[in-house]
Order: sequence, then C-alpha cells, then structure tokens
Amino acid sequence: MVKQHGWYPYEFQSGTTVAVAGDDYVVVASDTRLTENYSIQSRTHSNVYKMHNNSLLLSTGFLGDVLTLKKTLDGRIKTYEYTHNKPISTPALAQMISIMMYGRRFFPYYTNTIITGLDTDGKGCVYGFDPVGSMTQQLYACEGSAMPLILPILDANILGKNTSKPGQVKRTKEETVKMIKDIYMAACERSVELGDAVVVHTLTKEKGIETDVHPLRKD
Amino acid sequence: MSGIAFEQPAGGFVFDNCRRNDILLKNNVLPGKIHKTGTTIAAITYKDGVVIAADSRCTAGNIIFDDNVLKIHRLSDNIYALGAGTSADCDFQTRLLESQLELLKLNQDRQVRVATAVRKIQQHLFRYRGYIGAYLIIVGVDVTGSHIATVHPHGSIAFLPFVASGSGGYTSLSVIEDRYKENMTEDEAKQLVRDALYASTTTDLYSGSKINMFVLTKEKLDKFLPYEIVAARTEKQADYTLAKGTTEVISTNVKKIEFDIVNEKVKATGAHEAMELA
Amino acid sequence: MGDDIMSYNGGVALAMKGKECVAIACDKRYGVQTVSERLRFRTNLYELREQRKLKPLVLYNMLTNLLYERRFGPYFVYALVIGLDPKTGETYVFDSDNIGAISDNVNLATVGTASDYIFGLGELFFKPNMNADELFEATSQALLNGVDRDSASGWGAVVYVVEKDKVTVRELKGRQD
Repeated sequence: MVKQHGWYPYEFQSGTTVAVAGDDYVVVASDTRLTENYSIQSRTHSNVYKMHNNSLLLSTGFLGDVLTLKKTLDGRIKTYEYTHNKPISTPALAQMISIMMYGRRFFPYYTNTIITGLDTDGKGCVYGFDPVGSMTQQLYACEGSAMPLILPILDANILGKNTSKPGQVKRTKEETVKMIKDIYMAACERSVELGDAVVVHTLTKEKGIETDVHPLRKD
Repeated sequence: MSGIAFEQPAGGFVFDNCRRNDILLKNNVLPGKIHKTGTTIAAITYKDGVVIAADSRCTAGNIIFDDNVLKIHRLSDNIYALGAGTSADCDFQTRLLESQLELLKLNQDRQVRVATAVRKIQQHLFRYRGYIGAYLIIVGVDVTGSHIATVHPHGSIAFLPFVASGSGGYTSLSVIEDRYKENMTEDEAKQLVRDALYASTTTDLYSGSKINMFVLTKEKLDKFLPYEIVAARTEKQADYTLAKGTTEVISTNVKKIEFDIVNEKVKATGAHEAMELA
Repeated sequence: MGDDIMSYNGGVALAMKGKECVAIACDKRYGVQTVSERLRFRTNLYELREQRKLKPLVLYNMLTNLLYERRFGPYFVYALVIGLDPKTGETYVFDSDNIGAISDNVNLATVGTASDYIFGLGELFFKPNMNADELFEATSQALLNGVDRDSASGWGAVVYVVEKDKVTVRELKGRQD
C-alpha cells in the first residue's frame, strides 16, 4: 500500500465527562487532567463549561475545537436572547448545536459533546452528540478517553441491566454525586489518562449550580 | 491432538504459528495488545555502590493492567537488572540470564562480573536484531567496583555513572543530571533517585503507583519494596455490594473437590516432603 | 491441591478474589482449544512425573513458558490462571498477555476483547474479603454489563466459583446477540 502523508490538524487531549439526568436535577462531572501524548498538560482543567442560559456544556477531544465550539455557542446564545427576548432552553440549544456541527460535516469539530440542563418543567435533560451532529436525548451519557470503563457502570447502576429486576434505579442527587465520584475513582485505577481530580456540578431549579471538587490519584 | 503427544518442550523459540498468523493478519484478525511496562527505571552510582529504582505500573495501551509490578530482576547475588519495554521479554530474558550466570558461577567457582552479564545479554539481543523488546539497565558490584550499564534491544551498550530509561526516563534523567555529584553518600543517592522517580511517576502517564528501590554494595543489599507509595486508591463513598440473587442463573452445577492432601498423609512421607518443596 | 480452572473459550474472561474463594467468568463466543490441550498435556505429564498435583503458580509458570516459546509467532490467546490452596485458603489470580508476560498475584484481572469495558465495573464492584455469594454477583455483573457494550463478545456466560471444598459452576442469562 502506498503510504500517504496528510495534513492532520487535530490533537487529542483526553478528558472524561459524565452526565446523569434526574427528575429535578442534573449531575455532571469531568476529570481535570489534560494530556497530550505521554505527558500531562494541566491538572486543573475541567471539561464542563457553564453557558449563559444555565445549560452545562461538556466537551472533550481536541481542546482547540472545544474552545472554539464554546465561543461560537456563547455568541449564538446571546443572539438568540436578543432576537427572541428570552433565554434559550436546553432542548433548543441542543438542536442548535446539532445543526452547527452538521454544518461542518466535512471538517468537523473534533469533539465529543454533551449538553445538559433543566427543561421548561425543571426536569433534568442530557443530550449527546457525535462529532458531526447526530443527537440523542439520554438518561445519562459518558464521553471521552475513559468512556469504555465508565459507560457499562452507568448501564448497570442506573438502568439495572442484567439483573433479575431490570429497570431504572431512582437516586437522589446526593446519591448520584456519591456514585459519580466512586465511578471516577474506579476508572482512575485503570486509565492512565484519567486523574488528578473530578469536578462534580449539580444543577437544580432551586439552587442553581453547586460545585464539588473531589481529589483523585495524581500518578 | 496426535501432534501434541510427541511434544516435549525443547527450549528456545518456536515458530510454528508464524505462517498461520501471517494469514490471520492478512484477514484482519488482530492479535491484541501486548503488555508494556511503560515504566521509569533509574540507577546511579554513589560512594559505596549503586542505588536503583523503578516504578510499578504495567500497561496495555491506555489501560493499567497491574499497579504493583516489580521491575527489578535478580541476575545474581551481586548483579541486578531493571527492565523496561515489553513485559514478557524483560521477564524471560532476565530469567534466562539469571540461570546462565548461576551456571557460570558454579563452573568457575567465583562471583560473576557485571561485564560478563552485560556481554552475555548484549550478544543474545544482537542475535535477535532488536526484535526482543527489552530495554535493560544492568547494575552490579564486583571485584572491579560498582557498575551501571544500559543495554538496548539491538545490543548496543553503554557503561555510565547514572542512567534512566523507559517512557519516563527523560523526566527522571533531567532530575539526576541536575543534582548528580561523584561520591555521594547513601542518603543523598537515595534521595536523588527517589526525587527522580517521583518526578516521572507523577508526570509520565505510563509510570506510576509505587517507587521500588534497591541499594547494592559489596557488603549488603537493601530492598525497599516499596520505598514510597506515590499514589494509592481512595476509599469508596458508597457500598456496591450486590444482593444475592441479583444475577439470573440458568443452571448451577456443584463439583466437590477431592482432597488429595488427606490421601498423602495416609501414604508415605516421601510424597509429602516433595510437596513442601514446590 | 486446588482445582485450577482456566478459561480458554471465550471472547473475554474475568477473575476476582474473595475471602478463601476465587471466581472466574467467561462469555461463550469463540473457543481456543490448542493452548488448553497443549497445557493439559504438560500438566498431565507433570503430575505423572512428579506424583503430585500442580499448584497454581506452577500452572501459571507452565502457561507463560508455553506462550513465550511462541514469542515470534504467538497464539492469539489471553489467559487467566486462578487457584486456591485448600490448606491455607490463599487465593491466586494471575493474568498474562499473548506472549506470556508474568503478572503479580492480583485481586482482579480481565482479558479479552471486552476487557476495557469490564475493568471499570470490576474496580467498582470489587472489595476485599468478599464471601462466595458476593463474589459471584460481583463477577457476574461486571462480566455481563461489560460484554453488552462490546460487539465481539457475548452469548451468555459461565461463572466458576472455587471454594475450599467445591467448585460451583453457574450458567448465566445474557443477551444473545
């Protein structure tokens, strides 16, 4: 086979994000390690971005694209507000991101994106995307380098898959926060790219965003 | 099955799968990931001998397979090796060398020299043209003094006063380069190696967990297993014990284990002693 | 000595340690027969020659030697060795790659196509000194949920729990796709 040298404008800076929707809350988390190849670029970089309308954007992958996506989105959220005289709802924002991403179908943002927030009834919602804008609403989502380690845990713990009584297991937001911290701790034992700390944000109608930082292994 | 009946392990490598694997690879059957040590290994000489240290992480791709691996291998009483690269190669080549050196020692009736160990492994690796992926640091103390040698898979070697190797080797080496002096005391040397390993275990993704350290002189061998635990698991906040009956079972089959220990007590004591030896 | 069970017929295998018990689980996709036959031959020969059953560490050494012989033309086999010493109750879990890398005696090991998916679950469900029932549930849940996220393994599972006096073999219900 002929070896082709191409222009490859992407890098991958790892990071792992988790989002879990509840009846009246949404819990999101991200580790704070930023890597490139063999080394650590930052130990304090969270992949959760608070948007102007109180939605939380979780994005990992190529940091340049993540930041550009976030910046473009910030602008469009404000434009929406000025045009329609109300903040954009999270479901509408998700639709907007999907369209934006598909607009770059042949030079995509190299990002694994999740958008979370509360819908108009105050119920938690989570939308996951692939890099070119395919969107699904989910009960929970996980993206990033340690996704293979974490996603099956969420399947088991939230949906009760493969048990004699399958079905969604309801949790309070405190229980969910604890579970997510433990999941990061477990994944941290086995993934080289995950570590340093996990930032957990809880979003509720009453209290807005509450943030909790939990230390992880530093090696 | 008929082919197996004639099989006796004859020693050395066996190549009977090579053609099959070529065909499998052409049909996109992937062989899977080989375990790598990832690794930082470091060694420095000081006034009375050598200090060597290694991290304890074993990885396959981005997954940590084992966080408690000993990468310091015994070659003889006065010679030790540090291994980086392909785990299996480091394990087996040092084991092979260890047995050869033991035989040599018994034949000659004197302590083996570091140079002998280095030359033996060098010639062996050279024969395999770099395909044996073992990056070794061989250290030892013999009648000619204390030595550190680094051996690469192709068979090139260098005797040095200090060296570090593996994925975190450059990180460690920069710490050692900065602070190395000739004729350091044991405490200074241990501190320097510890700092070098700490730097790489925390910054290199493929090194981590624990720092294992040996101090080797003409008189003694001090083992620190571990010298320091850089990072360890933290306590879980919730309990994830699953209730009995969580998993659906289609069929259960219980096999009782027959205790041969009882039989052996009744029989002669010869068999019993043989068992203790294992 | 303890009955040792090796898993050579599955897309994935998982082993975990408990208190005086040890479990191994595998799915039921494709089989790898040659290595187990070769190993069986060598173990039988050992037992005849030495007039004693082989211990877990001996079996593990045999396995890694067998695999490393084919360093340059490996079997596509990832193996686990588990065992239990009925005298002391000490448990053994060893893993290896396809060219015989030697591992420590570990608490948790998984190999195969879905091992990435299982490691996270294993780390979450594992705790020290589980009893046989807890160990069975932890092992089964980790395997089944991990396998569901992997396209190359599946078709139900078998779990062996080895205790001092017995081996319990359970077949599990799993997705058949």
